[in-house]
Amino acid sequence: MNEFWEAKVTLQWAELGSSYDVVIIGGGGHGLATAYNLAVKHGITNVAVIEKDYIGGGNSGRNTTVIRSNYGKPEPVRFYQRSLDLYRQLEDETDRWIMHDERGLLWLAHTEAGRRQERSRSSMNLAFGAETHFVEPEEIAKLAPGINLDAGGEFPITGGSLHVGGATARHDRVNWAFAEGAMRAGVTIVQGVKVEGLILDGDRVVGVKTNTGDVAAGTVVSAVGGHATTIATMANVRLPIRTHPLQAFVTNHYEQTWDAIVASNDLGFYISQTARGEMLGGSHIDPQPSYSRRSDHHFINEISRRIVALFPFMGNLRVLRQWTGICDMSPDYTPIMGFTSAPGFLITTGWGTWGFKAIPAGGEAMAQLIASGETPELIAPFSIDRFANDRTLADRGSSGTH
Amino acid sequence: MLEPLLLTRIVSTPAALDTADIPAEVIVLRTAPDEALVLADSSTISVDDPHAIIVDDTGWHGAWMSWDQAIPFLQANCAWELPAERPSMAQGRVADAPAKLWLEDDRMLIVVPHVMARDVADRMGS
Amino acid sequence: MSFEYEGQTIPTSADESVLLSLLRAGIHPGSGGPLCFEGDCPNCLCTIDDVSYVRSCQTPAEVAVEVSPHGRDAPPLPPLDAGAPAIAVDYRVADVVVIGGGESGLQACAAAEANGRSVECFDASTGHDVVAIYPGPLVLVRTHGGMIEVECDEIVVATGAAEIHPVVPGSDLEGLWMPRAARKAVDAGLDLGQLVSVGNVPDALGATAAPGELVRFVGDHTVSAVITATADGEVETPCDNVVVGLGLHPRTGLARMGNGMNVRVVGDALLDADIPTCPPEGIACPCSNVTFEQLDNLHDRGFTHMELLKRGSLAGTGTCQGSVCTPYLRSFLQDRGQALQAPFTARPVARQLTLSEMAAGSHLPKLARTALDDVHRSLGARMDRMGGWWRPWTYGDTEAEYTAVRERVSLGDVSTLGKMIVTGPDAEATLQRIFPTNVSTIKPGRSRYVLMLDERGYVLDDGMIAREHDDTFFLTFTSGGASMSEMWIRDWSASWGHDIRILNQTLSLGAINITGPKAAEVLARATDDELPPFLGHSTLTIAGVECKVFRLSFTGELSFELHHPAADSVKLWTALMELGADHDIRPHGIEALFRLRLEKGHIIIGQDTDYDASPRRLQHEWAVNMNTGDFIGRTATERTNRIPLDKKLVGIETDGDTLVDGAVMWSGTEFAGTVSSSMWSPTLGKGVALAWLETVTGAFPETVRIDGVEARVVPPHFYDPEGSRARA
Ligand SMILES: Cc1cc2nc3c(=O)[nH]c(=O)nc-3n(C[C@H](O)[C@H](O)[C@H](O)COP(=O)(O)OP(=O)(O)OC[C@H]3O[C@@H](n4cnc5c(N)ncnc54)[C@H](O)[C@@H]3O)c2cc1C
Repeated sequence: MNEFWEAKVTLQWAELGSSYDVVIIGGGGHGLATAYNLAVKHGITNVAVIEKDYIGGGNSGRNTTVIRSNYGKPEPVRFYQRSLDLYRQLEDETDRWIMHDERGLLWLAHTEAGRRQERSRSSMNLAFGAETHFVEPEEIAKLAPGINLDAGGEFPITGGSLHVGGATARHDRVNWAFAEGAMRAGVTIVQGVKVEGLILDGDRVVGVKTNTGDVAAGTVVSAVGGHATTIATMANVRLPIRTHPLQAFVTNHYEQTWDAIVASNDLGFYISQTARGEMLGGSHIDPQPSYSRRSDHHFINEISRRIVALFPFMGNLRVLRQWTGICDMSPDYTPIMGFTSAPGFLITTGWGTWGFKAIPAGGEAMAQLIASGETPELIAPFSIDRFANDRTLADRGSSGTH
Repeated sequence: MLEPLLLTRIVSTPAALDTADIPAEVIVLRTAPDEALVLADSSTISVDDPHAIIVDDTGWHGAWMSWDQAIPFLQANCAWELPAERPSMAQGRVADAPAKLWLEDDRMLIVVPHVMARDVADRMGS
Repeated sequence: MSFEYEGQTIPTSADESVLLSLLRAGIHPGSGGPLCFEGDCPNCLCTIDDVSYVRSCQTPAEVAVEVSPHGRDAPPLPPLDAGAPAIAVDYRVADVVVIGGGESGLQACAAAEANGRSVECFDASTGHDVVAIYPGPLVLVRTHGGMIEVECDEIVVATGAAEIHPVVPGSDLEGLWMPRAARKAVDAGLDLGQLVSVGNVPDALGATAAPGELVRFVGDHTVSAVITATADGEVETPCDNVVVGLGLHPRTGLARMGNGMNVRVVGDALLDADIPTCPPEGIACPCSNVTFEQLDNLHDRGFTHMELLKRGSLAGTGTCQGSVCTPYLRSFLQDRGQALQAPFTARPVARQLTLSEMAAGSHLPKLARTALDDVHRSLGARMDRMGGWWRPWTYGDTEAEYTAVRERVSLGDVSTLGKMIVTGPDAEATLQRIFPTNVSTIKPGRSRYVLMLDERGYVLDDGMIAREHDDTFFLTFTSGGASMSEMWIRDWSASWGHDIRILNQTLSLGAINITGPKAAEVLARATDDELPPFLGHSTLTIAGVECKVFRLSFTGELSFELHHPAADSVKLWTALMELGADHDIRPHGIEALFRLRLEKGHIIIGQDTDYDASPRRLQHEWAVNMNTGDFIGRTATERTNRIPLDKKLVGIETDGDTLVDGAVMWSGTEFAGTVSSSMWSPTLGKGVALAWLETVTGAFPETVRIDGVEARVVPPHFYDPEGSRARA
């Protein structure tokens, strides 16, 4: 028997009813965590999560599982740090093994500007509760075994930051832990049901139309990663979102002995070894917006070159599989959460390439918002109003690639 | 292989460029409807557009390659398809540089900005 | 010929696989399980020359040097000090690629060739593993000597069908064979001893048939008997080897990978899959070591969707990519009452290859080099990657470079600046709308600093605008902003229907900045012409090179920017260095330049600004003339100006300390912003910085604390605020 199989989670499926207090569209991490928090923390159990494929079949089951809070502005650092803290306790809270492994994330600089940025990041992080330290190349050589500090001659490492709380977890297990908890508390989760329209009463959203029938709802939450604009348009809400593919790959598995999580913005990749021993890597989004999930040769051809320049030994690892997800990118690289101009219609989107780490805190905050009718302070800066109010949270340098 | 070139850069109305007075034997790389790179010095050229920009340009390096040399080089360094017509001009990314290609029956001229010439030359050598 | 295996020298012969050589030597390299000899299963894996997960049945013995067994458990990582081998790529173009050289594949080749089409045909058994079909269509082939990439119009998948592997208890013993493998083994002269067959096996193998249905294999490490079920109960048939025929499962992975492309499937790859009986126990997925017990357990707990079952058990996620277990997962779910499920989405790669093989043919991204690149390197400069260019960060003594500018004279390579000619009847009208300044008041021969705003009123770039003649302008932009700025101006002028001509000369012109109190004196030695006044420009011959000379200042000292044909950069640089030798002229790098400009409070787009930098926040409202017409960003600026200001770029001074770039500022216990750029000013004898100051309870603080140090908020012009030195 392999030790990594899911030995505990029980998923209790139910039939979709015709009316709920809250209908959540999208059974990804954010939808599931929102449902979990509503039911478990706020006692709101008349909730349905409607998933068109299978739970976690979107980006929440195809990401590269990096959890970190080393952002560049106070608001995101606080928010992601809350998520990081929630991840730390998620195994205890749910009594499920999510393979949470906190081993520190190394973010490399290859230029003087990059060095300066990693110094800034460290200061900003320490000020707002995330532990990040600037590190010199000599230390990096120890933290990332096998690294070539010269990186092929043209990308010499000039420094970096070590984000001590950087971690990984098994994506599927996170989704299942939240799904199971929600189901157990009475939430209805259905798979293979697609929301094809919204039911409007004037401006107000009062339900959803699905391929299996209409469902009335007090509140509708759109948690449809990769399709946020399609659903929002049905509520006459315009989102400043563009959808881009993001690709990743994994190698065969090897003894788990490489403890680093390494990211290089300049070389455009990040890599870590999973608990199961696969080397898992990803890159930047594809520049062209698209809904296609087809993987291409250019991505793997380029990223392999870059990885091998930095870690020559990885040249001998064997690639097992590559895949693609589609990411809803916000213009300032910060999520968009909360109320919209359509009453009864809430969004949690703009999770781009960085939303796996945000699942626990995102679900917690959305549930608080629904339960109280007020936007929690932690996510108030992420409201869609910020674009009209000249309060965008430009943080591209921290979004990195994951 | 890449050598500095002396070119003339012309920007004018498309119509004026269509009828520009350029010696017949000179190679003209029509890079856009309103822009051309001409393999000659600017004194030999005139265009019927009072607002035309006509300047000497030393910012390009180029090399002639026989097709025996060019084909393997392009296969490894150019992801797009060349036009079939000869002679003709093509442009796009070649060896990671914005390149202009002049295609003749038995040879090809590649022209790249001098700022990328060193790296393109390395790729031509390998 | 030979290779090493665990200290043993294994003799080999040409045209033989590593597996066959090992079997001849009496060694089964995997950890048991049936052998297929076709690369489908994970049962002959070896580590060969530092690369693990290599199917020894598909690897010619002649390429192997060091072979070790690999087992079911994860092998160690490759040695950390191993280098990455360079792999060659053979690029090909064909009308048709046929994958699989069996009967149907060869027929497809012949048919295509008869139609006059060019064909490439690949078969794994001859060392050509087709690993993926990508959009293009592009077929990626791995060989033992390198990679082959074929661009094609059509792909014919003739990959045949794999034999269904047994997964009953005992399926991990040695001595089990798939029928085709047994055929090859016998043909190769291996002695299979007492050979027993179960299921549907060709008679030609001469095996003794065990009666009935397969139940399990027994043996200690190696099979000694096969147990079958007959109407009369279980029967045990003793044996040395067993050949197992359970039917065929078409190899459709590549066909499914090419879904939506011009892909045609022929031959056995088209077969309807046999759905094997699902045994009550056994290991369904040998790669991930998943038992039927686990599958049942998961199924009972709601993991009923094929994807959830796979993800929950990890069956199908291992090295054989589901080749062994997919038939059983399908039969398992069918057995539990579900409709027959389709196989999983097929993703690249079908067969594994190393990262070095994957990287073959690609290159690290390259940066532009100015015409002075060699000069900088020969002067010992440390080059840094910046804004898409290689630039000299320092020539080794940044203090001395700084001092040369402040006290004498220095050269800087500013060839990376964006440079553009805009001319034509509507040139002024275009620029009037592009820039938030009154372009009509810029006289020929004069220039002005400008911001470029986007529709949201945020700063896209900054630079200079110089009028040459009535309708001809020369613009400069930041090093990183040139291409974007060109597109920006082209797009807008086209949308306005303006009649203009644009030429981006960024890569065609070099530019050298000569700066310092002695700059004019040195320049005067190089030209007979008169130098332009401050913010003026003219075309002069300097040291025999025709230059557009702009007098402006980023360093705070008297400065002239000399724009010239790129081919003349080295000549001009060398001449100026010689002419300034008596003033101990020396070049300055970017590090010194950043300090010089910081003392002047000049911003650097990208370093001191982010996506939301408006002129008001940058305290650059002086560069925005709201009394001109309708410029891009005007409406947004009017609107956002009505919203209370939340943060601004200010100067910060400290008495004894240098602040760290990026340091956080506090006012009492409240966050008050961050330091953007900082330095110790040797000239002023204090620490100076540009910083983003935020309001604290509605007002901007006048002092802040940074890393325990008290600092004053001041206007961001530390050095020569009147600008008398630049105007001298
Ligand atoms: C390759 C890759 C690597 C990544 N790496 C990281 C990382 O390392 N760290 C990190 O923090 N983030 C990472 N991310 C980002 C992260 O995966 C996402 O931000 C996050 O999973 C988003 O979660 P979600 O619940 O919003 O969306 P999803 O998980 O995509 O869920 C949305 C769900 O909505 C469903 N849906 C869509 N339309 C409908 C409809 N009409 N009706 C019903 N259901 C519908 C979809 O099927 C899907 O299941 C990565 C993403 C990718 C693609």
